[in-house]
Amino acid sequence: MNLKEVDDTQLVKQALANKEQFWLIVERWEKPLARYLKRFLTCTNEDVEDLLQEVFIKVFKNLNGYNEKFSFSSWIYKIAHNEAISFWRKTKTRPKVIDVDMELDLDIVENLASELNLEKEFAQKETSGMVREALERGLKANYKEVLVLRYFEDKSYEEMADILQKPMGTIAALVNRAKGKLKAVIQKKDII
Amino acid sequence: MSELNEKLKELISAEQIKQKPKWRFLLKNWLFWAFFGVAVLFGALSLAVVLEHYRADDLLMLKGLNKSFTDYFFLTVPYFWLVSFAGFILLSWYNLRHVEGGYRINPWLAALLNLLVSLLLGVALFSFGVGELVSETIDREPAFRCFNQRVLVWENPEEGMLAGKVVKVAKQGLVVISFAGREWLVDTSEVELGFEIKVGLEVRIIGEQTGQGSFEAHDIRPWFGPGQSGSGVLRRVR
Repeated sequence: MNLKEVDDTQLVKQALANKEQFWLIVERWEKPLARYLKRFLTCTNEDVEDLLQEVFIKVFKNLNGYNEKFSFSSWIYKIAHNEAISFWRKTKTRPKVIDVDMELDLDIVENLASELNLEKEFAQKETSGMVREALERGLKANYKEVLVLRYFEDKSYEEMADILQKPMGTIAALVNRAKGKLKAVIQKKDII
Repeated sequence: MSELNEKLKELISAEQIKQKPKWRFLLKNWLFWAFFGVAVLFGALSLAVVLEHYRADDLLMLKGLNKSFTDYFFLTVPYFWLVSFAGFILLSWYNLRHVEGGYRINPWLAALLNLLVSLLLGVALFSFGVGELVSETIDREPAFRCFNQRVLVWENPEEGMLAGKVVKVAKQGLVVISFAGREWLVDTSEVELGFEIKVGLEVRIIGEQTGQGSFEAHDIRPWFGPGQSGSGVLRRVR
């Protein structure tokens, strides 16, 4: 079977009918969720692996709870997001480690930086570095989560609403506030 | 198979991790819908009792006490039932937010819809007499009377308000046991009664305390309902 030709709903049905097919879901979603967790959390690769394990255990346990009316991507991201938030709460006092792999998101960071309209204040290269650092160290979870989902995971407001279990209007307002907060953090850092 | 897949396979097998059955998710969703429905219904019932409270006409009757509008308005507002109504609106909103897809609804719109549904249903229940039934049922239970603000308001002979059950009927007066359990000799010579007062009837009386355990009535009406036409209209014989 060519995994690429099978949609998520079909994969779920197969996995429910035969537990051995669950590994196909893991195979499809392991890398995207690992990337999402690394982008959202400032943690080591080992932490991400442990989290991924927890995420997929929860996916396995709750697979009968998936409703085809909603996108499977949003459903699985919701589970990953909830695990990430639990991890964030447990480890917020730990010193943060920025993962070098984040360099691969340079174009996304530059895109976000350009939206903040800081060109007059800082050179573009500087801004990108400051955006990354502000994202890693300067924002609360509720602001970082919307920016990561919107700009790094390229989720629509509808998908974000399903992942974060909030109305779309609230999501839109949160994204705007998060960008404002990010800009304020960057500008403040420069003053200091 | 990836390393993660191998680990998961071992873990699921070793710890015998089971999948939750579909019925659990369906039940959870149905329960939230059921609690939503119950909260809307109880909110509507609370509103029906509030409307019944005003239908009982205490506001008009208390005008006879010559208090300011503000005084008798705040005396008669059914606080317990209004708080109950607001509480059930909030509960129904909470349950709606937790049904599948409920989070997508704008919270203000959800609250407004809940309020509208409870208002419409409350008015409908009131029209069918359900408010009166609930109010009477609660009033008849001594244990629940403390929730009935009307009872507390009317147990106020010093201010000219009295309510209770008629235990004896005579030509010029009644013996009434108030809801607080006190016995009163009520002089009805100044009132032309438009309805028949029988032993066992619960009544509310506007008038004046004339002594320890004695009361002169200026207006009498049945406790339940606004009273029949011509009931308790003051006709001073002076």
